[in-house]
Amino acid sequence: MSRPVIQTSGLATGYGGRGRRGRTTVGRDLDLCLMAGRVTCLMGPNGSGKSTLLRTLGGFLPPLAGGVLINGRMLESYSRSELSVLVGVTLTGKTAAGGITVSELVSLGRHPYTGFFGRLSRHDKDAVSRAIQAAGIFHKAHCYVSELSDGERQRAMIAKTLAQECPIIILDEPTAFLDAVGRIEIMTLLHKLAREQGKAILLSTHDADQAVRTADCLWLLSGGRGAKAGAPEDLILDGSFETFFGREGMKFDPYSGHFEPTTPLAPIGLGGDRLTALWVANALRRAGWQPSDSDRLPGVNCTNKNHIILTLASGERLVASSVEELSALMSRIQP
Amino acid sequence: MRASLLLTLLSVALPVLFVGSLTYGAVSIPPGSVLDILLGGEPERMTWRNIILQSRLPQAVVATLAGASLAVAGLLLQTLFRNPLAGPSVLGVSDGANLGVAVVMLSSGGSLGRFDVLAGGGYAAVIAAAFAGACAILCIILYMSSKVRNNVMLLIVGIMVGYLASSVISILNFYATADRVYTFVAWGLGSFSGVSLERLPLFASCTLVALSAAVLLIKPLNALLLGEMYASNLGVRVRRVRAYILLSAGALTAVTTAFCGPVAFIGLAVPHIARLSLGTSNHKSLLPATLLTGACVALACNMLMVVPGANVVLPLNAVTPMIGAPVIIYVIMNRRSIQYFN
Repeated sequence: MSRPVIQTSGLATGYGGRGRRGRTTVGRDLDLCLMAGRVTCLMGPNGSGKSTLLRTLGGFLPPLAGGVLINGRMLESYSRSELSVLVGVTLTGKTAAGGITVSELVSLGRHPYTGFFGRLSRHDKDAVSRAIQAAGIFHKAHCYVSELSDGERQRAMIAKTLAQECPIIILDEPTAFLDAVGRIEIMTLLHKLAREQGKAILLSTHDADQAVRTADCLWLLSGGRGAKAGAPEDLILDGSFETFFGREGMKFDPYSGHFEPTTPLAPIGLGGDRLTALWVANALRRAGWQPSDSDRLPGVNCTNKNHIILTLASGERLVASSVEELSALMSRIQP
Repeated sequence: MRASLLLTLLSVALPVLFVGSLTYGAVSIPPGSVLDILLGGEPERMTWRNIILQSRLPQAVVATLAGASLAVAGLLLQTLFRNPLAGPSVLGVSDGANLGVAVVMLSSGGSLGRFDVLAGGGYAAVIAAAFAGACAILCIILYMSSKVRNNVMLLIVGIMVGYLASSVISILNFYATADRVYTFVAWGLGSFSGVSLERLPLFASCTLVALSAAVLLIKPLNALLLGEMYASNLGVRVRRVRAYILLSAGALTAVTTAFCGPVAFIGLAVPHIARLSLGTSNHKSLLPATLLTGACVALACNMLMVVPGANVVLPLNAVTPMIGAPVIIYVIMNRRSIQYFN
């Protein structure tokens, strides 16, 4: 069912090309495998070489060592026009396309299929309007690209890549400028493309929550340590997240799936209505407390969202009618 | 819709301006006679016939082609460098032509008077020198473009090469006689009237070849709006296309500068005029519109050069900034409306 479309072995990525002088190696010993029909998220700290790896896989930068196989053939053996219908990319960075409309921009995605003067056939036009629809930028189809917000521009570029109709899609931080719902929309769309059309989708992101929730496969990258690939859950359970992202004063909590500062938290009891307690816990952590189920003092008991009882170590009971009020009461006692 | 309207308008304006250029001049000739002469009829005076066929007709043709060439060269470079202030003069190509001419006019030995240089064989030498100078700079830029991958850096290299050429010209000027300096300055003012009827076919075929080459680049030019990486992902062989663009823009500038002198502003301003009136940077309509607008603007400048009532013709480069400069200022003041280069 799922087959590998991109395989790298001993790949070293970086800039500088042929000569040894001025050559900068960013990532080395990368053995990775991109599968068709799956969404793969590439994660790594700043400067770990995510964009460089994506650019190497997209054929923009030559590998400094090792090799990249696309559908079993060396990347270098493909011509530009062969690659243009095989790998579609959405990149970060500026364009000078402010003076054309969104639909003209998306039409450029049909470039590999059109003739000498780029005239669009009926089939091309259909592909363009499908892509515009799918990327959720239909309402701006006739606006100039320069009139779009950053998020809309991102959607327009994604639509361009969709119109290109490539079996492999590489996106460099496609959700960077999108709003919270927009991120989920785009991720859902990418999932659908992977599931329904068997496309291999590779995207880089800094959003760990999103990656863990939506990626079928995660590639973790670190400047020096090479890469590690696997299902997000496996990488959390075997501690890879901690190894790749943990730094002084920061740790990955495998229970919550969040990164948290390692500052010690003072224990506090918490109980009562589940939903209220969940969000009260959030506020308590922010204030430097570690909530637990025990009956320890000080303790908080949530009857409902408008009735939260705080019991101090002295046995004194205070009642808050909102989380904000509770926080005000909590600030009286230091953790 | 807007595109086809504008293109139709321009296609009407072009012949009107062309005929206007033939009719309107320092010597007044009635339009009826102009038509007669063009159709091969016998005019009232033979001098009219000479003025129309030997001077005004080649001048109008040259203005049309030179305007179109410079405008298209400007557009190609603005798209390639993704910079609204790029133009034929920034790559140093016109400075190269200048340098070639300076070498011939300022330093050739012997006692050529200032009019001798511009007469007969001397003129051919000037054109050849301008073309050689422009081509030399073009070759340097093309070579640099294979070494320097960053376009902004390439632009800076072009500007630097231009400065080098200018400084050599200054040195040549310093050592030359006043007469020669005068001739050189006069050449530098630009003119559409320097191409004789005999050399017109050469000029026309050179520019037409380079213009058609530019038209063939429409598709990759559009892809380049997205930047070189996107263009390459869409199957454009970026390095080769970049060389074609430089070659085509360079040839257009070189030929025009060789025959007309360094013409300021048309190459920089006309692509903006076309872009603003079209409202798009899609080259499918922008390139033809730029070509036609360039021809129209050059013909208009050609007519503005003639001072009404007086028997005087203003230098070309005194007229072009009058059209060019306000447009550039308008573009800069108006950048918030549509940010074409963003």
